[in-house]
Amino acid sequence: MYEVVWPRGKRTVQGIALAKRPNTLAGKTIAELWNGGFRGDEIFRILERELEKRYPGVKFARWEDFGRMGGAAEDKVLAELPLLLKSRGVDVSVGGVGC
Amino acid sequence: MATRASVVPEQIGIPSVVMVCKGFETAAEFTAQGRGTFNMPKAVFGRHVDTFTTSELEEHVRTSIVDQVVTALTVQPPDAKPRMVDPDLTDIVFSGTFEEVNEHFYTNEWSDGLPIVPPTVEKVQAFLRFTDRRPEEAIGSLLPDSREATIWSIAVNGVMAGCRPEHMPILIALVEVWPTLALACAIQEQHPARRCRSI
Repeated sequence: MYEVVWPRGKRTVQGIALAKRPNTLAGKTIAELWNGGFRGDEIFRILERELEKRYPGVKFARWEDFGRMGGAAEDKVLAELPLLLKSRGVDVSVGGVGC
Repeated sequence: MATRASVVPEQIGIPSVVMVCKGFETAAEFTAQGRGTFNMPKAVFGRHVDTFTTSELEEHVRTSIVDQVVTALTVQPPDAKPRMVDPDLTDIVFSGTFEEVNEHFYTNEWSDGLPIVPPTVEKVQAFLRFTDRRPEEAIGSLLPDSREATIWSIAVNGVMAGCRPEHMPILIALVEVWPTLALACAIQEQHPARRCRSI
């Protein structure tokens, strides 16, 4: 029998509460945050079409506006993202594609 | 990458969801938790997106992903807390046979499934004899889970990996430089099962 200890260390981050969700996406501006891979260009276009059918007035801040979320400049891109999201009047965000 | 970006809106009060392929949910959770988001909403593809034909992808997004995205953005998820209280460094967290210890560590995602040497206090202390540094000293915080790397936890992981006690100074040196390596940071966050060694 072995009595073993824990292999991890204590967390260094505190949990944040998730942002308050709207009741509907009608009239909202949706940001598309794409990491540049895994068919995100196709997927976001399909999403746009389907959400436009369901929610009148929905708008998109497209992934082309934000640049690639990743790569060598990722730290810089993510540091600048909050200001970009605010300047585009973004209400909610969809990111992808994680593989 | 996708999850790291998707956490940013939440940090400034904008609801967010990340789309991931089936099989990568845990990787996304680790990454989100390491940035303080313990219940990051996800929309999960039924399989890897590269295996869909164009028409299958269209159908899958229309009939599954859109609904998941809408739910994630319009239904308030419950506030989540860390799933377990962190034990103290020297607490005994499990007792069992070699096989049971390995199964327990694998189940808790403390190992990658390869066999580990059970980290007993005696074995860890043997490693600590090869450094003058205090066991509780934190060298830094490591991704993806943003947890302290202490002299103690380095020794524990050295035991698990099958290192010899005299390897301890090298293990400490590796962890000291690890957070400064861009490659290492990328590898750490892309997938929990991915590993990198550098000597």
